[in-house]
Amino acid sequence: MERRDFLGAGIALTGALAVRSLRAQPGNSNRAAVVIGVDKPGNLPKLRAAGSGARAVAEWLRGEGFDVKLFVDDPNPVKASDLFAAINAFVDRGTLEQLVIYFAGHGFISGSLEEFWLLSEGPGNPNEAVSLFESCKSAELSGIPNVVFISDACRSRADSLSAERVHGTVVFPSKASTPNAISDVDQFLATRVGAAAYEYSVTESTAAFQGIYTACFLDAFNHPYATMVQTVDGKPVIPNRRLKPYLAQEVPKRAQAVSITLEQRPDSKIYSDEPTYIGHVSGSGRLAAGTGTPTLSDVVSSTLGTGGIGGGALHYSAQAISEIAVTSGFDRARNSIVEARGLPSQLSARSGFAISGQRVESVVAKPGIKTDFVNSPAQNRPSALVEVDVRAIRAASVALRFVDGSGTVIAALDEYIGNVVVDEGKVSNVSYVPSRQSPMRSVYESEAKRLEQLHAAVATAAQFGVFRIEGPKETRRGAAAQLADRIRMLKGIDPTLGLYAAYAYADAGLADKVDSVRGIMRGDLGTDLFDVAMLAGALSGRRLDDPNGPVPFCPMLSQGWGLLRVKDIRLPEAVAAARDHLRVSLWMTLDREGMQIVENVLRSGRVR
Amino acid sequence: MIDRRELLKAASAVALSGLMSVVPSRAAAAGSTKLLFVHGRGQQGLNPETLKSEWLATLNRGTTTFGQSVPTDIDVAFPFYGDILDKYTQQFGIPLTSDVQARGTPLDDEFLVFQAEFAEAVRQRAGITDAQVDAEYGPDPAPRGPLNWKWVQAILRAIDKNGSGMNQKTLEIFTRDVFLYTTRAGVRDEIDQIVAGKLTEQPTVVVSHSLGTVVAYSVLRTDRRSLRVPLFVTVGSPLAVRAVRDQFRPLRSPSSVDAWYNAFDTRDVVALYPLDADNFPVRPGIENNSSVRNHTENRHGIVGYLDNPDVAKRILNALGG
Repeated sequence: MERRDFLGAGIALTGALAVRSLRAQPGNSNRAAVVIGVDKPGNLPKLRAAGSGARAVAEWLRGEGFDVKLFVDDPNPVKASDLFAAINAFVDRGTLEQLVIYFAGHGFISGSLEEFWLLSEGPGNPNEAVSLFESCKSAELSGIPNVVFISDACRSRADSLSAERVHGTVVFPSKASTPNAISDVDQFLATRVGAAAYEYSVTESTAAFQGIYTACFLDAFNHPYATMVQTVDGKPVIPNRRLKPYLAQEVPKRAQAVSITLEQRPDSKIYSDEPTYIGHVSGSGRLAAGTGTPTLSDVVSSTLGTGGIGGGALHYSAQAISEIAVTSGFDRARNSIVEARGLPSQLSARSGFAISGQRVESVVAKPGIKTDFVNSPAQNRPSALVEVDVRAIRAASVALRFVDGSGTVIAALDEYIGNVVVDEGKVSNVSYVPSRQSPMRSVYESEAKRLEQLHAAVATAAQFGVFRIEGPKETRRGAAAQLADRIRMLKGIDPTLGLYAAYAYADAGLADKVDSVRGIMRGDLGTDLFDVAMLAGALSGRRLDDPNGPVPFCPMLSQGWGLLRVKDIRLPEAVAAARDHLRVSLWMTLDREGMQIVENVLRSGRVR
Repeated sequence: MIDRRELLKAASAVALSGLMSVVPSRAAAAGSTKLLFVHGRGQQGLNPETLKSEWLATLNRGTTTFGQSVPTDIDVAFPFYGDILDKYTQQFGIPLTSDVQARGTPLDDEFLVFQAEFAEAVRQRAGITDAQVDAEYGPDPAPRGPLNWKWVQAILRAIDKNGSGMNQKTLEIFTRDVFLYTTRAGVRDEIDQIVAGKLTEQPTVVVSHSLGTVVAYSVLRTDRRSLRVPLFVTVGSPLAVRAVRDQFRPLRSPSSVDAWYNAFDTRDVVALYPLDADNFPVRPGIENNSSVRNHTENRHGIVGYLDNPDVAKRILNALGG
């Protein structure tokens, strides 16, 4: 047999095994589930539908042949250690083909843009919460072909829960050795995670929580549209992949049927291929074909003209996509980024920043680096220009403090001007343009319009948490190649495009692409950007107190802070403490106390 | 017509006279079953034909103990990957723990973690105590952990001194080769292709040893052809060591295999974990034979497994005996 034939056989087999192995086998299951329902963590208001939702899901999964472990907070508390033990035991079997983790209860988004699930003793005990993002990342190495997280979290603002210092627990084991294949980790979220996600106070969200998402999810298997159904072994099933448009359509509709003011936009990240499924069709189905509703992912795919990026399938009408772009706020956010262009051209310095939307109170870099700034006297939209001299060392970390006390840490790059946009006290966008002294300036000027449009689309997608590459592995590879083509030359002009791409590649499990981006950017900039080096695994297992290390000395995107534990990156203790002061924002935005922490670190000269 | 009683009587008479060996010969002559050997590590530079003859001769020594022999007309395959594996070990150039002097490349570190996990699993099963490892480690204040090569070395030395046969260097090389095969897709693909190339849809008894058990398992679980394996034999197998096993999650019994027979010597340090429900929980379950007393110096050599009467009998029966 030819080598090619053999490898091809292996690929084809994967699909065949998926069909065979996902068959229900009561009493001898290679499918398992951990189902969690917590109505009342700590002293928070009691939910009405978390425990009952969990029980309903557990019953359904048992009917599908899953080996189910149910954790509800009546009568005993649900503890992180019990969840870990249950999941670890399942992973340790080594034979599971699919593992489902379901949660209903209180949740929140941290400053690092991660979703947390609060358990019985949270948020008073900062460990009694589940870090969804980190658990998903660890699940990728579980060796289980398909892991599915279903989150029906009643999402509230962290401050209204007093959960700002909750770091939570990773409920998947961290194995010393990694399996050959990365698991397909699918996520079904009742509410999208992103800097621009809708957030409510705990009082508002508790009153509105009725388990709409869980009800919709279960109903998909009772009354699916014909287009959702696939036949496996002669039986109708709903592949995970086909749930996405259904949930995008049904959940907002049902939420508004409960209350016209209730806004709930679910999100699904699906990496498994068809026919991977959780359950069979158990009801009569619907007569209508049902095309579903376009999601933000489709808006991104349409805007970038790259099917697969954002996960959209591009089979919706332009009008339908346009409506979602408007009603979701995507268009408004993108326009505000486009409007901020032009300011960097006012700065004649070799390196520095143009700040739009805020005035600057102070600029701090390590000793020896000259900085200066000037605020605009214009009253309509505050702005500032900052000059940083890094010609001797090519790059440096800079702490920019705004007049309201908040601020950010950002990389100052030689011969680049950073364009920093601040909205409602949060850094919503950063882009770079070559300064007038840069040999790249003329290239930039000839490509400026295209670059600005592309950057605005990418940055807005990132802000909404949907700049990502989804689908089965081969689809992801194709989409990644398309993205690489789109940004190939432009990322040399604006390094943030490379940064966003690296995050998207890493999220899609395309490690070789991340390495490639890192290599090119190091060549262009003469230094590592922290985020890119981190995603490439170059900072793992190291204590980062190297004065010649990457810039800045911490992640620039808030979500990067959520990767530190997963990537085993040990920031200096003084820097790590800043994490508790992150605001919910795409680009790292620290409160006043957080800014004091990072300014002290910079003044000490211990970091670059 | 011969009745049942007469048939049994005739069979007993043949068995007693030592002439039963003609039966497998007839079965083989019908072209029903083939025999495929999958060797372990450390075979580079050797002649595959010579090795095949040695394996057959050893198996025949085993069958002779109960008065039978392997049919001479049986189709025997001996896929040889020794030189390819050797090429890769040289290309990767991973230093052995005993050669390491400082933190190395990420690949070196990955190997160190794998080796530490492997060595620790062996230590636990072999009943080697923490105190015995500490005695080898000495008063070094550096924290014990998988990336501390001195600590890993101390575990290996403790196994060498307090185990029963396999010396430190051999164990290190063994672990390195298993690491390369299980974690480097390119290495695995090329070796698997060699073995798969000798497999056909003809019924085949697969007999594998050491690293070869890992290779054979990898091939059988991924090959999509309609293979027919009436018996899969693994001897001296490290498959149930977590560091190895976890590379093949989710564990599945190859659908082409009718029966899986695993034999090991309880003194063979790389095969201490039986392929049972606790350590390798596949369905249908695997028959384990822990009664083998391997007479080779390190209790792991193929010669000490293949000439075991129980092992030889199972193979011969599967061949139609």
